[in-house]
Amino acid sequence: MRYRLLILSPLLAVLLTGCKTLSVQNMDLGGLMDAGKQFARSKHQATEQEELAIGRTAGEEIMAGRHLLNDPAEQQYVNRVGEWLALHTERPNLHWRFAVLDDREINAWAAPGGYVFITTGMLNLMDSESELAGVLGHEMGHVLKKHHLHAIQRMARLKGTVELGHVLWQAAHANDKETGNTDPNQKKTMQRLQQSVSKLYSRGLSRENEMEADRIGVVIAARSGYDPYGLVAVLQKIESVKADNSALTRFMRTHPNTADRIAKLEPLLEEPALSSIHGLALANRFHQYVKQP
Amino acid sequence: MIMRTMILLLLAALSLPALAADTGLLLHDTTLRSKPVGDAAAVMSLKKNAAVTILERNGGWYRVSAASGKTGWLRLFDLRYQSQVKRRPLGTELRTLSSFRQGRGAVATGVRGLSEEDNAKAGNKRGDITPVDKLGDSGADARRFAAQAGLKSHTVAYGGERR
Repeated sequence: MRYRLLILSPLLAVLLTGCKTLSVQNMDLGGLMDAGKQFARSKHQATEQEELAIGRTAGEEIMAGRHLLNDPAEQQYVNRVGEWLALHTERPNLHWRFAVLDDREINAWAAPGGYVFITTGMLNLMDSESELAGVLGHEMGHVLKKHHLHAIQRMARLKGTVELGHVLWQAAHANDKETGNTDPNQKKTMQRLQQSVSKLYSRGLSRENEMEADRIGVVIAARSGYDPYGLVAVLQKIESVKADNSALTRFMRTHPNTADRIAKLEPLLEEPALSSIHGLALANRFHQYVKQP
Repeated sequence: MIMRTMILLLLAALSLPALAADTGLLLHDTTLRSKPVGDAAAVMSLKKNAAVTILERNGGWYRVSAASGKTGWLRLFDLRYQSQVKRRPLGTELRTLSSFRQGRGAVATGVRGLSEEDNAKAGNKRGDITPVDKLGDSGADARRFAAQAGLKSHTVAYGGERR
């Protein structure tokens, strides 16, 4: 019987891959139902559904005590720019969401599954759409390279199908009137996940992850037709903000030294492929949509 | 009509902050150039730590004004931004006067996420991600919006080389 199951499992994987009819909160739970795929997946790379479920937990952490800027036109503008950038990446069909947070703190965050957050404090530093593109591109780099996802999986020990299934179950039942699953293992998994998310976003990613996201941000902006120096221009302005300005405290705690980041981007921007691109800055359009003091 | 325009202009002039601009410091000895290209004619030499006023940016170049009053172009990486003063183009000043406010964005009043200590104090209250899920844009709309501005796609690898 055991041998028959082993032989049949690849067939099950093929048959059940197309089973994507169960959908909750716009999430396709086909991955949870796909027992064959789970059986065959030995390295437990998170599926897109699992990545999104983890991303929602990270998003809840970012949104705690914060709210969206109440300006639909500005939100749509940032999403239009972000979606255009996304079309120039290896994940153009991911459901990318770009949220402007009404917050004087100078910061931006990404969460697995395509969530990108940027504060009005960060937008206040900018003068052009190319600068916005650079910062959004940096955050998208974290999603594309799965920096947060891998760090969270490692810290929360979400390596197995069972643990990832717990996260999916929780996301699918987030709005249930019941207080939640009483399975103690489920609760332990979610506790580990939330604690790991909190720890990661409090401390920040590795220096290597941040430098990689910088490079990706510059390239995505350049691919999209923007002046590729936008991100560096923003980093230079951040560098000019006084070190004791509370709006910058968390940013400085969670990112490498700004001067180092700028220096690392110089050789990339002097590559002929980038320095020959006369991309657009689009300052006027930026100021048309982004209200600043 | 003319009187009203003159009064508005006078009010605008009185309300405008004293002329202030972004400033920078030179990171090393460099040459101020007449155009934003490496082989443009030299305008003057500048020493490390010289202060300049930043007038505008064009890609990887800043047009600056030196202490001597001469203007020219410097590479972006030649200077360190020292201060930034938000400027509004003159044509928009009158429109923004009535809505001027300091430091846009909410000041945190409650305990916010992204700090282990803050989360513990707040009893680990989770934020609401559902409004964010309603955001996003269609590829078609994004393409149209990009085309309106004349944005053109390029092929560049992450390493910087052309593909």
